[in-house]
Amino acid sequence: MMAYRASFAIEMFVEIGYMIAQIIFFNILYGNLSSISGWTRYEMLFLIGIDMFVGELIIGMIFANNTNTLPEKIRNGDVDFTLLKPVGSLFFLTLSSTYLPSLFTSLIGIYFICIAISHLTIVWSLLNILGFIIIFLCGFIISYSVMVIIASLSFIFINAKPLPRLGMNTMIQFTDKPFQMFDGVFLKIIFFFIFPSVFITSIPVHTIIKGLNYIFLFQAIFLAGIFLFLVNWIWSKMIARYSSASS
Amino acid sequence: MKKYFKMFTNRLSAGLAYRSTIFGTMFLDLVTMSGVVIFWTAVFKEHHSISHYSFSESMLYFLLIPFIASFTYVFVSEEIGGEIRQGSLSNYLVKPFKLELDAFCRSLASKINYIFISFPIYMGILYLLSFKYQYNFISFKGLLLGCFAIVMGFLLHFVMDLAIAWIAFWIGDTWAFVHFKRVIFLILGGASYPLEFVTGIQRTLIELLPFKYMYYIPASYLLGKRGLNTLFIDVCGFIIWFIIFIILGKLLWNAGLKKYEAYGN
Repeated sequence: MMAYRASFAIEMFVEIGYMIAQIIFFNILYGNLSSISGWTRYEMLFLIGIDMFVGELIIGMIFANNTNTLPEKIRNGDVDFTLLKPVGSLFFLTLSSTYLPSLFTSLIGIYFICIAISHLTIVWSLLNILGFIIIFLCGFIISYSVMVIIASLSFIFINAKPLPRLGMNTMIQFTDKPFQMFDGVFLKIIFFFIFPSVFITSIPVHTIIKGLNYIFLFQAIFLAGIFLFLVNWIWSKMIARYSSASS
Repeated sequence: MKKYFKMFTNRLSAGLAYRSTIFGTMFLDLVTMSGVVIFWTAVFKEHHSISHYSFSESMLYFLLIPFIASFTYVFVSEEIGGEIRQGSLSNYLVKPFKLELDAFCRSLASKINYIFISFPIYMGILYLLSFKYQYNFISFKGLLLGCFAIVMGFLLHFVMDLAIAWIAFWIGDTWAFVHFKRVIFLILGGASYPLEFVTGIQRTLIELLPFKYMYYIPASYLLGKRGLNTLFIDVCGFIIWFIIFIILGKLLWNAGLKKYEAYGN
């Protein structure tokens, strides 16, 4: 990918363009409002910075060159060659190729995080930082698992190109929203248990700003374990039912 | 005309062949709608209005955006740009039809697929949500004017996208321009927020540009925020931009064709 430097630079500019659109929307919104779900301007900017960082990581490491290409690989039989390799098919088809422009542009999120932190009064503690890292990593594992589970439905619905994007959107569409927005039993079940995207950004940020919540910590670890088991189990079932495309 | 009608029906059949693609796209729209509903419900818990948009008006505006996008958004630059890059444009040059009309048939066929499958479900959801969020469902006059505005948005986007497609003669891949176009629609087209949220000189500049026709203008007519009193000005603006992009497209096509080379096709 780095061989075509112009193409690489253009792809990075495109990613930056989407981030600019997000920041413009944020500025227009907070030009009219003082807070959203109790989150002030710079708390929200912190959330958006983390969202940019992790969103680009997810796109670069999981989606762009991996799950997004799965329907095409199944349709034209490229999965056959993957199954012959001495590497796990789950890793090879979902994590082996990275989209570098996203990884570089994820660093822009760090810029906005620094701006936000400089305007917030945060009580830093080792416990909060450790809690943030653990919950964040669990959220990333959950996100990977959900995206792969949905993308793996491509083994059943041939040429269902929207499936990988549906998996990605399900997880990162809501990561720039504070978890307090998911009010009511129904929304809490969806966003805290079934598609628990709150553990990717919102709850880690809340941990840093307001302090560690042990219920969230243990829930994140528990859900990460459950989803990791599920993704391995479902993937093995899908591979078992896979039939080649006449290669 | 017979050949173009046949091309249109072929594209229609091809679009319906993979029903999982259609339903997958519909679920994507539902996820987007859910995000909109959740976000603006939370915002308006603490605020009564934003720039003269009440909760119900904001809710309906953002629920209408994916619906409008399904009609006004086209993928001409991605498809034709790819054909130019791969050299398969040569196949079209020797055939007895115009590539622009073929592209138009493709785009129209995909819209018709959407009308028959996703549209009824989408309108049903909008109607049911009107009871919960108490927005006035679209009036008949708003629907007529909104449909007219959507047609304007589709046609303008088509000629704009065609001009972008011809850029592939020089840069090989229009991918970046396609995404820049999406970013511009987010910021200047009304896809992220009603343009009333922007004030001052920025608003005046945005009103002069063509991007508002893709989302903001159709949504405003459907909501009843614009009416017969603004229709004449909007149509005049549409005609001016339509002619500009037609001329630009023709110039780029003629210049690009002289430069075009393909190997092995």
